[in-house]
Amino acid sequence: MKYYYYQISKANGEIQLLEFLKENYRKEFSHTKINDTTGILLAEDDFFDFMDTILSLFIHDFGMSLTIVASYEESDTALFFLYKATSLCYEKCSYLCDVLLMCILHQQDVKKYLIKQFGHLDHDELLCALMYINCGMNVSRAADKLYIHRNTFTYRLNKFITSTSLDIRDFHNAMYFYYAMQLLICA
Amino acid sequence: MAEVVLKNINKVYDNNVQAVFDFNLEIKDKEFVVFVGPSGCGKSTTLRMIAGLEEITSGELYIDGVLCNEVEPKDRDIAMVFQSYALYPHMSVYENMAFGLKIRKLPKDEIDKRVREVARILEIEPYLDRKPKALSGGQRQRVALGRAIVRNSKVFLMDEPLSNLDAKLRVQMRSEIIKLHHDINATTIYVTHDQTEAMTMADRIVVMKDGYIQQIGTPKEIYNNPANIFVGSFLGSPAMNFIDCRYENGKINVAGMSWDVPDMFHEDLMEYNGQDVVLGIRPEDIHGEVIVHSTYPSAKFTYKVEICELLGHEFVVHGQLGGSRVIAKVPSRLNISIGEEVDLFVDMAKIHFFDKKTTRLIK
Repeated sequence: MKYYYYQISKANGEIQLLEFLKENYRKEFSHTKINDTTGILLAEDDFFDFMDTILSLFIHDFGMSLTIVASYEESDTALFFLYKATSLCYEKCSYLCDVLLMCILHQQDVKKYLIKQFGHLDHDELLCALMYINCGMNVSRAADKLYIHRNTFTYRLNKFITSTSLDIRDFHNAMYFYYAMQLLICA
Repeated sequence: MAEVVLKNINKVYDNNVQAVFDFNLEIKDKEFVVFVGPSGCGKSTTLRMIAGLEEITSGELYIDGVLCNEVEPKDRDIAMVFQSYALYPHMSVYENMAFGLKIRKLPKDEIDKRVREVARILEIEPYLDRKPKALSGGQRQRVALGRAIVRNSKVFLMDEPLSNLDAKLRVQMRSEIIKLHHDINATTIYVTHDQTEAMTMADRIVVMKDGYIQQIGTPKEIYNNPANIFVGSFLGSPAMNFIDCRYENGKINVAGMSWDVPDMFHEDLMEYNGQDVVLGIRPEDIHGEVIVHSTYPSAKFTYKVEICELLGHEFVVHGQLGGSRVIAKVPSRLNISIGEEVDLFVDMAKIHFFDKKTTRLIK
């Protein structure tokens, strides 16, 4: 499941969006309204592909713009990236990693959100997560590099995933973590 | 159908990047206009501003005489065909075509009548119950067009609708769109980066670069009289050859040779006497036959063929002339081969001169 943060150009346009989804997505999803133009949809991973395929048609048929950011968690950071996406990834379906990359390319200040998200983490868990990404998401190689047993590595990686909700075994989550770490480490 | 008028249109994004600069264009009723240019030239942005999907920073947009800057996209009476033949994957062909009308709350029998009529025109009647995944690329493209046609819109906007098709299908769909335009006679604005599409489909072409209009004209006008070096190089395949030369008293000095310039250019070139200019020659205006030589005896050069591409009826030969790469198209019966020294003759009536600094056509 993922949290799909959306911003729609028309006030209360979510009524049409939800009607459309009920009729056409035909799978379970839930909705939380943030304000008249912003909200969150909680849906399966395939919702991203669905929206990505029909987004341009929806925008044209309903005459309103729609920008979507898929997040692994419900957080202020995800909302922050949605607002960034409305200028950097406008009328697109994006993952957090896509928006973060655009922020980096456009030299936007996102560090304080990333520090809030990752700054408090245990050093060993963070190191495990970083090594996992650097070793191409290969557990054995990453454990070898850290001179620890594979089971210890897996234990720490799972702890990282539980404490952050960021499952970096998912490609887009891994990319998001990688960009965030590059930005924080370089800084 | 409708006229579309764009007056002094500018688009500046929030990050202060200006995508379109002072765009002025009057599109006549039933006209097929193609915006062409490289990626990032502002053609899609302009199209999206016409559709209402992008806000106009300044300037005025009129559709059928009505100022539309503040008109909602759905009220502009515009139909849009997107890249990658976008269709709702979970809907049948019939539902896809009917959807736009359904949300406009048209009566069911009216929707049915329109969908079936358009399906007949597009020859997709047998597929109305199929889902998009059960269609070929060409059939999907026709359905995407059908979605636009059923709306009986005043204006059709097409944003690179053929860019995701393979080469063979693209050629086929190109002629289908031309035929369709003749059948339904809708004012159409078509965006592409493919100069062949622009040349073959357009009534008029708008060539864009870096957010500015470079030239507006019929394909023939633009091909024969490019406004600047960019337009000359962008339209035509292979591209126009550009050679630095010096103009002096009715002659040009090209790589140490002196070619007589026809009288018709003398007046335009008067202020460039003794100065460097850029000579533009289309590959098809360089000939291998001696017959051209008799008309313009001085405009002859010899070069060593570096590359020789046989296209069946003609060769495309590449070589160097005064440090510039020069490409010529010569008939295949001349039997040219790589490494050979060949004599080539320039049709001086069809050459172009460009200002070296401004890159503009000298006229």
